[in-house]
Parts: sequence; structure tokens; C-alpha cells
Amino acid sequence: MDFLKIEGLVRHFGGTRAVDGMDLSLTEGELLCIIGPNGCGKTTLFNLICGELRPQAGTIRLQGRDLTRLKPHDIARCGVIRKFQVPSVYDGLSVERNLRLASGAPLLRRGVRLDMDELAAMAGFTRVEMARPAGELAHGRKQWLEIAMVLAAGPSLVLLDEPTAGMTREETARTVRLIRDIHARYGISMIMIEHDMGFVERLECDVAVMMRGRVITRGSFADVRGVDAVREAYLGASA
Amino acid sequence: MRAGAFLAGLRRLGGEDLSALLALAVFAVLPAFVEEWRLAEFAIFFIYGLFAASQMFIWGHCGVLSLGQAVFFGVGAYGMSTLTLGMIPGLEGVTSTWLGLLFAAALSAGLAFLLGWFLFSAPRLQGAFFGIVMLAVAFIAERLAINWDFLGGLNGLMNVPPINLGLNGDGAEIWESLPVYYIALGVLAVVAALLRRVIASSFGTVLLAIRERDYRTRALGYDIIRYRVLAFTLAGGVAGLAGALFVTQFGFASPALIGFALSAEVLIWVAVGGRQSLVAAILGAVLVRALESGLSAQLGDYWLLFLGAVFVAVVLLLPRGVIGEAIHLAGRGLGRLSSGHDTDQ
Repeated sequence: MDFLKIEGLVRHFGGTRAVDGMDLSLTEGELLCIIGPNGCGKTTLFNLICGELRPQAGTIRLQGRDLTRLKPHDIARCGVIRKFQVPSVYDGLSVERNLRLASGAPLLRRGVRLDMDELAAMAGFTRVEMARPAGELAHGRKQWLEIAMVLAAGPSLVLLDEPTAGMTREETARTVRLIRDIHARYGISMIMIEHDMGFVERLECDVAVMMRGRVITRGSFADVRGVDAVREAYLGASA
Repeated sequence: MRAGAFLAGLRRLGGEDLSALLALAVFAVLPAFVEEWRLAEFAIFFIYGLFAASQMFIWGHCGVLSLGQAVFFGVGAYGMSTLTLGMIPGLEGVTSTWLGLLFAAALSAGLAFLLGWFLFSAPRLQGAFFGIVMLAVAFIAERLAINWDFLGGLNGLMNVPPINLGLNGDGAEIWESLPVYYIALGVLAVVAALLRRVIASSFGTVLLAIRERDYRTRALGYDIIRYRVLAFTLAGGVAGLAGALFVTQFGFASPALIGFALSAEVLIWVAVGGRQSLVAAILGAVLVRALESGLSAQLGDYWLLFLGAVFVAVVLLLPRGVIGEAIHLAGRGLGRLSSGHDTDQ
């Protein structure tokens, strides 16, 4: 059985077909990267999975359980935890309190279980930094804090929305290592939306290409980049 | 070295708790230095302080701007008055102060629960919209109190009995200024300490998280509507208790206790004192009311103008509030002082 199964998902905004009959499945422990041009419906897909938006048709099932009509916090309680595109940490609270709030999340069943030291080590926070307000962190480190928070909650499915947005090359490289490390060590199922092609290549995972609200092709990075439609629509002349 | 340890201990206590204890100590000995009629005035200020604590909790801590918090104060005031005056149909024989307090707090909390449940569940009723709806609720409540004969209309309900120690209003009445003063101070201190514990608890931390980033908190699985409703209920109950105590001291309940004007006033007290700190908000209420009592004789109608100007200045220049800023600076000074001693050792 598929871990996550999305079938015939539809969400239109007026005349815009953001998600238009989309099918997607994920096996347990799989790492999948979704790429696609701006406005192809990637973030809408995440909003639908997390219940922030209601689909007009289609179903989303996690381990056979229908999530489609659940409220956002109930979907999170089922183990689907998301990282937002804009770093969304609690600026006024210390880094440690941020992590403690996340590890206190009322999930029905914990996918992974990490203690405070592991989380701090993973995101590279010193003891002194743990006591500082999260608002004082630089942009890239806020992103890592939020990734650590997502893991602290004990998810069984992690959704990362452009985790390297606004990062320097060096920070991006570190983020690739961080995500590969998390996936290798804890075997969590993860879906990631990405824009940065270099990032996608170095992740060495399955890639799904989304266009006009659907997945048009799926495979390894090498397979996908060879597809004509992808070259034209997304990679452009430079690819 | 001992001084260093003492200072380190003070620092652990934190500026907030330290200023709370200091204020409590000052108010505890104040009756030795002021005239008796002043004490009755201060007892009322402490009740306003309790009301301000409810506004601080829901606005400062939870980030929910309620422009109609006096609705709960007024419902508590009328609830207490109708019960202790023996006006509740079928319960005419029950005039207990204790049941009255319970009834008033429960009535206000219940109303806050229903309103909160209804309003917070509406997805588009966020931020300022919620505030405006509460403003309308305050307006409606005031009109209701004015036009409902059962509540005495514009005149309100008079001759509300003072606190009565008997189980059913048949014991000793507390109306002398000194005991009334200490009862008001005691209730304020106990409720403030309880609220402080709630704020510091994991429940309070989640409320803070919802204030900072509601969508992030929801996406971690927290049912933010339930948290907000519970917080609003608690704030409503505290406001209701304040209203109930108010009428036992003041002797009558009137539509002025339930409407927009008092809702705006409590907002000003909390903003001027400091909405991020419970002590600052409470002292803000006491300070503004004490100033008003001292200055309104000289300033007359200019008092409101003065208060308005202070409010605008504080909002623009001192987001922590006048007292909140002072506590913050004192806390920082204390931190520097004690860490200095630590390095001496």
C-alpha cells in the first residue's frame, strides 16, 4: 500500500487551474522532490495536503486514512508536518523554546523521536544560541531552526516548501547535507518543493515535474532532465 | 560574596516577579500612611487592576484585541447585583456573597466561551475585525442594560449589599475601608499570581506561540481555536469577578459598567502600564486611576484630553508601556549588577 496517495486532486481559483486532476503517490520512507515553473501549483498542493485549502475534487490518503476533509491541526496530528517557504519560527521566543513548543506538539503517534541535544546538534546551535531569541538568527539559520522544529514534532511525513529560498550557495550546500542526513538517519518520508536545480541534483532522489496543476513526469534527475517538455517548459535553453 | 548570591537570587526571580512583590509590599503598608477615605478609593483601583489583568492576558499575552472587555465586567457586576439583591427568579432566598461571586464569574466566563466559540471559529474574523465585533457587542450590551427594566434601566441597580461573610448573606458585612482594602488587594494578588502561573505554563506558551505565528502553531497540530476560546473564557471570568467585587464596594451597578467607554478605558490603562507584563498592566490601571482622582479636580474636562495624549505617546514611543519599560530597565540593571558580582568571585 502507498504511504501517501493523492488521486484526482482539483483546486481551481476562478479560472486558474492551480491543481488540476493531480495524482501522486509516495512509499514509506521515500524522499521526493517536486519541481516546476512558478505558478504550476506546487504550494497549492502543499496547502491542500495540509488542509489549509479544501480541494474541489479528489482524495488525499495517508496510510489509507482519508485526510481530505480534516482540519489543518488534525492533519498535523496525523503526522504531516510542514515547513513554510517563508521561515516561520517564533521570533520572540528563545531557540530552545521554539524547539520545545514543537516537541510538545500533540501528534497522535510519533514518527521520529529526537531529544533536545540531537536537535540542537543537527541544526548547529550552541548552548548560548539556544537561549537567544530566534528573531536574532540570520535567515539561513532560521530555516534550519524550522526544519529542526518540524522534526522535533515527531512527523511521519515531512513537507518542505523551498527550504533553500533566500540562502547563499554555502548555506544551500549545508541544507542539502542536512536533509540527506535526516533522511538517511531517520528514514522519514519527505516531499520537497524546490526551485534550485543544483539543489535537486545533489539530493539524488526521485523528482516529480509539475506543470499546469499535474505531474507530467517522474523519475531520477537524469531521467527527468531528458524529457523534452521539461527542457522546454522549465529548464529552458540553458539545460 | 553574599551580596552577589543575593543579587543572583533576585535575578533568578526576574524583574517581573520582583516588581510584583515590591508593589505588594508597598500596598500592604500603605494604610499606615494615608487617610481612610483614600483606602476605599484604592480598593476600587485594585478591582480595576484585576480587570486590567484580564485585558492584559487576552490582549497582551494572547494578542487578541478585545474592544469590548467591559461586557464581561458588566455582566459580572449585574450578575452579582441581581443575585445578592435576591432578584433571580426562583432563587429569591439566595443572597450569598460567595454564590454571587461564583455566579458572576461563571456567567461572564460562560458568555465569553459562547462568544469566543462563535467568533474565533469564523475564519475571516481575525485581528482588527474581532476587535470591531467586540466593540459592537459592547454597544449592544450597553443598550440592553439601558432598556431592560429588570436591570433597572438607565438608573441601574441600587443598594447592592457589600461583601457578607455569612453563607447566605446573613453574616457580618464588610464595609469599613481597611478590610475592604485588604480584601481587594488580596484577591488581586491571588488572581494575578494564578494568571502568572497560567502564562508561564505550557498552555500559556502555546498561547504565546499562537500570538506570534498562528499558522505555524496550527501546522504543529495545536487546535488554535480551542486555545483561543479557553483563553477568552478565562479572561472573561476574571473580568466578571472584578465586576462582581466592584459592585460590592460601589453599591450599585449601572449601564456605564458594561459599555464601550469602560472597554476603552481598560485598554488605555493596560497600554499605558504595559501590555506585555501582568504587573505593569495592573499597576497601569492603579496609576491612571490614582492620577485621575488627583488631577481631574484641577484639569476638569482636560483630563480626558491629557489621558488621550498620554495614550498616543505611549503607543508610539513606549511599546512596553510606562511601567513595563521601567520593569524592563530594572531587570536589565539587575542582570548586569549580579553578573558583575559573579565575575568578582
